Amino acid sequence: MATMKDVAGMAGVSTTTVSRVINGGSASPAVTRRVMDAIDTLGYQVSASARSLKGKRSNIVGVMVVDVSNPSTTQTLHGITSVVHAHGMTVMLASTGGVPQEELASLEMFAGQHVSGIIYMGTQTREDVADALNRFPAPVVVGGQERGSLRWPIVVFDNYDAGYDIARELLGLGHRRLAFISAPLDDEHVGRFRLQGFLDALAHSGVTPPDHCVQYGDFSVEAGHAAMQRILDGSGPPPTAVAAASDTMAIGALRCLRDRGLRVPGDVSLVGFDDIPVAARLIPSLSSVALDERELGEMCAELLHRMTQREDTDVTRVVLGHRIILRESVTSVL
Amino acid sequence: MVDVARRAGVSVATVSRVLNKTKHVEPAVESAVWQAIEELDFAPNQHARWLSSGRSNVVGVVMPASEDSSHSRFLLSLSSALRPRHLEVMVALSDGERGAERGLTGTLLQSHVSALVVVTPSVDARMRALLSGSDVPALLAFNQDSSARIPAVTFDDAAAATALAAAVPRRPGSVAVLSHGTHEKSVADRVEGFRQVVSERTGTEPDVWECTRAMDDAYRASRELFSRRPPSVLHTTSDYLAIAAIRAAYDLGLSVPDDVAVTGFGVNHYTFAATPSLTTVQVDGAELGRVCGETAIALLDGNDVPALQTVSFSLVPGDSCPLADPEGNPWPR
Repeated sequence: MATMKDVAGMAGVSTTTVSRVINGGSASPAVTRRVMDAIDTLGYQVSASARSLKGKRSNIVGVMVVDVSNPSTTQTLHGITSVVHAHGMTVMLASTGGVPQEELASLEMFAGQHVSGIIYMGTQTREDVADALNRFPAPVVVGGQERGSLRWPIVVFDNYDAGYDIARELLGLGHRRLAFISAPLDDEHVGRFRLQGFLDALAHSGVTPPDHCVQYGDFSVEAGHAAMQRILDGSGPPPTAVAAASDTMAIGALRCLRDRGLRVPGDVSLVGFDDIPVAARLIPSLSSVALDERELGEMCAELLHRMTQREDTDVTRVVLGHRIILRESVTSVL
Repeated sequence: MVDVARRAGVSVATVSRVLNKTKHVEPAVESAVWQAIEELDFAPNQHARWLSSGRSNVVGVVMPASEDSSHSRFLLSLSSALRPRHLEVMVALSDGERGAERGLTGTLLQSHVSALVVVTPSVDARMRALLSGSDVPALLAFNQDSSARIPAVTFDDAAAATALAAAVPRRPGSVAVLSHGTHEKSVADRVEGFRQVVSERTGTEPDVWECTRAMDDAYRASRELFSRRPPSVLHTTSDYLAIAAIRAAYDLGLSVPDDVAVTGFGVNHYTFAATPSLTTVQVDGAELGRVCGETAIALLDGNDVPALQTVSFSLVPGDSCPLADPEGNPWPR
């Protein structure tokens, strides 16, 4: 069985440095890489229980998400893992389905594992979950949403501006009959803010969409399909442009429009959010509001790392930008 | 815990044994303890249980960050299968790199997980040694161990690929395969399944093209493939690749399926977005999760489990490649 001294010898560093790397302390990327290579080569295994008995935290970062396979979540997770692994630490994931009981159980599990910190990406934080997060014994970073009742730093996109900007873009192309497939409103950031920005931009141009042209879905392809059906089944002519709060819901809407014999963009222009990798390769290629989910993950992980190192703890809010990418699915009606 | 013991009419040690599954407890006593736990809404302290038993009620899962929706269904179904035994799932997320997978596996083993499920594209000797050298029950999901030393729950990639290729009516021209890396056993099995049908039918080997999982790389490889010698049928090893290939055909002015028929593999979020609709294979990730959960429980109970269990798949006919049964009738939709 390899010892820490063996690892230090192979990596050409002191055992203190090995310990620092294992415990998520500061070390240069090159040194971290050498130590991790030596650990891998020698098959050295760090004893999490031994470390926790000494009262230290493990080198585990807990991550809580709603759906591990949602494409935008996957991008965020890639960002998180790249940073966490670079710091020589491990990501433990809880995919909770957004169910509060699952979130509470996961928090208890993370506490039991002595995680060094948590990245929380829940969408509809119930008060008891917020309380449990606020009382959590290690630092927490909240990714992708904002809750007044959470005392931890957040990393978010400016969803109001993103909703506002895509509406302005569609208005600028002459669209006046517009529809929006929103995330649920209790998902405050992605739901309420994105929709409000969209509607405010329309209002500023004197456009008020009929009630049936604002529908809601849970980010899934199926929900996007169902929401599009409800929009098309409403009274009056169909919209000439539809924005969906996620590319996955836009994909569902695309399928629904095709099933109904409507052409995209000939009859209906369509835009999503997130710019997931497949968007550019669909037929027609899907326009999207690009939110760099990977950057969100990297930022959350870096911020959490600094907090675990007790650096820069005065950061309370990081706002990331967005970019509108128009592709084949959107056309002008001017 | 004292309250639970009093309500159930047993000792605190018995409650502990039930919670931690350390020793056999009479079913009647066990159900009395669980009833008391429910009546009192008792939430055992995870950490205390972890320390006292030396083994947590956590089943560890090592898996890559994946956009494959069958992975998501797998996880949810695994959690459901384990919940009646009060076992929780904790996922260690890998980047698919072998060294990282081993490191995460080692971390979970050291974390006193009660059982371990590893979702990995390939099992090498070191991973096999790590898993079989531990006293923590381990099993593989979405893959199998060629030495059969680690029990596995998977679906039969080769059989699924064979079934799909065999359901494609013969047509003039060549058949090609676009694969995202045959170093992964499951992907290699898919390629082999396609290859067998093609070589039986034509006496020739299909062209096999490789690319990475990245959408842009799959698109580039497809364009190159179509530009050199367009096949009349292209089998791909994932729906992701199929969508890139269909777009490449479209950009080159080739019609799908008239000029080239394209098949995918493994339904995911994007499958619905394909134009034309995608002919593919669906894997039942939920059933895989359920069988994994039941197998993990059997292992924890000290029961023997089969070295290999396979779950079902189904062909999903779409417009990207017409399918037919052996009599030549269109495949039912």
